Amino acid sequence: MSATIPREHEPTEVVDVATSAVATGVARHEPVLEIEGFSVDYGAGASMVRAVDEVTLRLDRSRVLGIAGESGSGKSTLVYAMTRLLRAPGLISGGRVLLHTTDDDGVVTPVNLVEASESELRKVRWSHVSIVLQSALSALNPVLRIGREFDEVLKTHRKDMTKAQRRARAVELLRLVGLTEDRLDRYPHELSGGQRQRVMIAVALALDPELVIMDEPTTALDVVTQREIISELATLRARFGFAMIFITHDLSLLVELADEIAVMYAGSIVERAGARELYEAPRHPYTLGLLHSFPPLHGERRELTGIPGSPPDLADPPAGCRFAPRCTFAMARCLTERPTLREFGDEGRSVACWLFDPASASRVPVELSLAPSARQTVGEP
Amino acid sequence: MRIVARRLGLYLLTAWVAVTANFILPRLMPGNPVQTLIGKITSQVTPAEIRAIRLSFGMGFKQGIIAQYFTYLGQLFHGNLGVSITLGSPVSSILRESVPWTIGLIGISTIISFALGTLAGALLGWTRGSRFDSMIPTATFFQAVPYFFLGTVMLLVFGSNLHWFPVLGAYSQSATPGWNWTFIASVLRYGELPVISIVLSSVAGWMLGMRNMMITMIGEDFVLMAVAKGLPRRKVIAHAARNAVLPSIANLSLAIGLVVSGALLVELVFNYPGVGDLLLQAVLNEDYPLIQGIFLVITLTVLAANLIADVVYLVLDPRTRSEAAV
Repeated sequence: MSATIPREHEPTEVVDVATSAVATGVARHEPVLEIEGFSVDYGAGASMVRAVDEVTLRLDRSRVLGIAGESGSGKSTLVYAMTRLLRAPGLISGGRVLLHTTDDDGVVTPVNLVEASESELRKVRWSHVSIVLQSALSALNPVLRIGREFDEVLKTHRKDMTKAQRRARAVELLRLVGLTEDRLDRYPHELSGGQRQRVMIAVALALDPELVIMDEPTTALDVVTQREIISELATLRARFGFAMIFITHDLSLLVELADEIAVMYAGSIVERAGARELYEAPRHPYTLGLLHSFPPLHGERRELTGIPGSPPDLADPPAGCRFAPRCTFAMARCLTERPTLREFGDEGRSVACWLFDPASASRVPVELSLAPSARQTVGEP
Repeated sequence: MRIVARRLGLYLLTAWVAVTANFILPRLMPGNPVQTLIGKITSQVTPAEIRAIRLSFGMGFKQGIIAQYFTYLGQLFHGNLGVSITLGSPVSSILRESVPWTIGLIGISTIISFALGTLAGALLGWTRGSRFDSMIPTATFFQAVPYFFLGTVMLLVFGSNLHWFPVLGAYSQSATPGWNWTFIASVLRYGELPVISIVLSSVAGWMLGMRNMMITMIGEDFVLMAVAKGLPRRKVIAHAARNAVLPSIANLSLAIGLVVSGALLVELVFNYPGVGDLLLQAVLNEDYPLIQGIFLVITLTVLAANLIADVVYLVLDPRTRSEAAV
């Protein structure tokens, strides 16, 4: 089983050209992150809960991967665990997370984050992978000025920079996100929610990381600010070419920004496809339900149906497919056997559902067999 | 600055209320100092003698209560707090002798205790669940033991029996009080045991307070961000501690306010010439001018300490600057 998307030409060895983050065209099919069989448990023994179950993912340079799923699906746990930021009682119980870090000379070194020591992690953190959290108000230290957030990061990772250079860099970064220099001397509580989130994004870009993780960065904002920030992120990504993992429960938001989308349910990935394909032609019943839970940003209005029932108790998961109890298409097999994520048909998309098992005689329901661009609900991608 | 001025105004008002209460309260009490003194004289007292006593206490003139109040305020501004009945000398000069001892002993102990407890609390909070946690019950034990008992035992064991520390008083009888090295060294030497005992009995409070705040702060997003930024551990702890220390600062101001009232028990156990001891004597002898003077000094110090704490808090926590203006 593998969710890795096959590419026309897999890089077999490290390429030492065109690894600068801006050269997005050439470096496109080099991986920046490879996750294999990654599992995370909460607690141990009888009370153990497997929050992330054997997840395998691959993210190429300069690509945007959206991870969608409802609360408790393990999407946040996955990213915090893979960056080793997960707090007790969360525990990585298996797998490998390879981050391909590029140094100043363009040499690519894969680092297994699961086995990295504290000092190795400190070197990788923020220089190569940075994070933007949902609530910028609590992510900024309330008693420090905004300028300190930049200064601290640059001081730690760019030891040769002078105070004036650090300040200049901070001003430059703030301009990138549309804020003026005077914000540097402000405290977090003096900024609006949107400004705070922009500051977080600017801080995240301070060291030109290869990968930026966004954990629901726009969920706490109003719709207008949300839109502004999403389009700014798209611009910044095009300009600097960092790869991005964008976590949200709002699929319609993802389709605007993401290249690929992985849908998580109860700790595993149930479907993975190109953003547009997944949005227009969902294959997994859960993805379909998720799409029906949000109003589309463009196009005609359709009825919001939601998904009946609630996510399973991960301490005592259902025997078969974890979505089966809520699934309208569930068959007898779904209740006993658990489907694995397997590649499915065309376009290198994968899905974990028995409906698409070649050996199965079942007929795929019409809702799940749409061809991409068959529906009118999508705006300009 | 506007906020500080506003606070200052509020404190001046509070001080005035305190001073006025200090004037009214003794006048509501039954009896007066003259009667108390007469009661202590066993021989016959002639009316002329009574008049003389009244005059010596500045009570010879018949004044209305309002006029008395303004006389009192006027005297206060000149630092005139009246004359002690039992000691016969001006209250202000008595206080000038005892207040520095108390501030020195209790003040230094409080600051040591705060610094030690807060530092230990920050580390205990960070390493919660480790073997260092066993420090907590030990520290709490010393706080739970009544100070009178703890102080006496320490005095007996380390002072009288082991002779590690000198006992009784604030300095050696052989040293001449003044700014000379022998005297200062002697004061420091005599202060050791009282300071250690006070720190031992009060450090647990600071430690627990800081530890609990640290644990709360570690759960905050900005601490997670500090880790995600790849900052060295020392700086991550600093991020959490900088926020965790705020409630402790507020408590420190309250503690400093109480410094002047003295630790009565400490001064009794170690026979230390401070305000606590003085207040006890004054109350036992119904020495009203002295009681009034001590209360006044205590009130004003509490106010001053609170004002300082307010300003420090404004400096440390930017969020209070906007809230304070409301």
